[in-house]
Amino acid sequence: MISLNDLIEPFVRFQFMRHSLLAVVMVGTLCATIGVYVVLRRMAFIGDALAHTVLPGIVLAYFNGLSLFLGAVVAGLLTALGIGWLSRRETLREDTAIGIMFTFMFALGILLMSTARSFRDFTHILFGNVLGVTPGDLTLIGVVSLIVLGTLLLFHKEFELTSFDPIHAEVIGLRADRLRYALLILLALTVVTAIQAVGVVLTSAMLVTPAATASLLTNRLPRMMLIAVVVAISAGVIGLYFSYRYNVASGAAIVLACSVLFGLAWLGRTLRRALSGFWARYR
Amino acid sequence: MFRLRSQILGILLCAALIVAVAVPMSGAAAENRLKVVATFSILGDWIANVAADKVDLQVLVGAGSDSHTYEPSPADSAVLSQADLIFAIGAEFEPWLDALVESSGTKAKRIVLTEGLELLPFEGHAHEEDMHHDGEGEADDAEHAHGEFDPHVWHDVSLVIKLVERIRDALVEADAANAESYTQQAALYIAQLGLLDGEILLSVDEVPEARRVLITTHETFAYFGARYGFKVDSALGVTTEAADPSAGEIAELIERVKAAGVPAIFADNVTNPRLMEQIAREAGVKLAPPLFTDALGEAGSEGDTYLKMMRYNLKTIIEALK
Repeated sequence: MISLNDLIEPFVRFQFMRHSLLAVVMVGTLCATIGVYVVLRRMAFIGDALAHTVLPGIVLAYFNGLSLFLGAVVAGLLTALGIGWLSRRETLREDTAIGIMFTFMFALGILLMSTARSFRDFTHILFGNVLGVTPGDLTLIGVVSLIVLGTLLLFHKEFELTSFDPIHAEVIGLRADRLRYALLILLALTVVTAIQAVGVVLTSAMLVTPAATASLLTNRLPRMMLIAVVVAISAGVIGLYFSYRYNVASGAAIVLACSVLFGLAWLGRTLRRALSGFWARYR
Repeated sequence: MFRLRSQILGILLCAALIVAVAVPMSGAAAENRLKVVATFSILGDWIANVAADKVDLQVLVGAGSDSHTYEPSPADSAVLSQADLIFAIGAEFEPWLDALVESSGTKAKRIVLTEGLELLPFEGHAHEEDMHHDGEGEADDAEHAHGEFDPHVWHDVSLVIKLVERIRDALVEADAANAESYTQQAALYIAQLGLLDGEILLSVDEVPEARRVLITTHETFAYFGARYGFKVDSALGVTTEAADPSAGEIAELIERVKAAGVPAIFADNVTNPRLMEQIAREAGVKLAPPLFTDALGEAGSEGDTYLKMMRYNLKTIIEALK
């Protein structure tokens, strides 16, 4: 049996484990919260898409000796605005707009790289790894978390209404378009920051799976966010611990832990439904 | 008087004849210059030194670029289709070359420089043998995807001398008219390489023997280690793919860095250095400036030729470890 001492040993012994832990807790909280909107609005691939659309920003920043992160943020924000503009007044669905912007920006990045005949893998230079998180990254995630979570909290009624019932929101005079832009911008900030700290796969998973897990268990938004955050943090801690104890890839371990928790929630819901159906029939 | 005029006329005629013959000949020489393709920057530099101005040289993967993640363009295919000679390192360092050669339909002779050379096998992480024997399937997969043998031979200058001899022989065979030039240039360059090799062997003495441990992001310095007496170790093994290391491995590496008693570890310029920064911070050692690993530096940098790149690496290693 594993004792509590065994569980906390890696975190007591190694600073990098404490940094990684802090990173998954913060990235998990941030991504899982905003992820609830991602899942509700069916934009599951926004994380992966943003990971590709930042390429032209990184390449241009590199050629001009600017901060790669800044380049990525600008490209991410442009993508967000592009998606918002293409899908305004439901001209296109958001997922279609994401597909268009994703391929456009990524191809632009490759074209820029080929003009310089430089095939350095730019994304590897910027994109991080959960084990390589620096104190600077942690501060950055903290600041972005404050901005994003603060905005979500301030406008939670508006965001909730436009996500669940956009028509009703329009009727009572909410500017759904403006709110959509705001959400897309917050998402771009979140994803770019998370990617440069912990990498693409982990960010994409943290954005979708915990929120999806929570959406199986409740329909109420605040509770959904709370459950999503708990799922994300638990998966982060479990994954990190397994990665340490059994020498398996850390990002992958955390993503798999997310998937397992989702699987459990799915199983739980199915069982509950089966049982209540059974109960209803034979009462 | 008459004799003088006829002499002048004779000289003029001769001059005209020489010009008449030489001008089209030099034109023809430019047309017929050997068209040589090198797969990447370091190899291109060796060829440039042997061939001087006698060939048209094209390098596919330029300075500062990673051959592993290279994506060929149609222009590359065109370059290959015109080529007479293609030089490659081999050992799966240029995984894209076979397809490119096929698609370009080139008739060029391909010279794979490491063919028949005794290469070091990819052993993966040094600690896989001495620290734990249990399954590490992921690391193994990464290695095998990269090939059985380590292609990074250029970090051992004595091997480079052999490769330069092969380049010379290939050029002489393909273009006998300039054989003398190739032989001379190669001899000059090999002399410089010999000096460099000796210089590294001697300067390494400045580093105490116990500190001759080269810990890098990727395992690219095995040949350097074998030739110049360094132990090598790395955080991510041999692949430059998006590696996702395990927390356990990083913890072990930190313990090994502490145990090795080295004052510094090294980053490279193709990956995010933050993992190495983290390891350095935790083990209480310095992170040395990045070394040149798989490509020359861009023109004007401290590593824009092979000789400069090796001297820069040597200087950086000695300063960091002594």
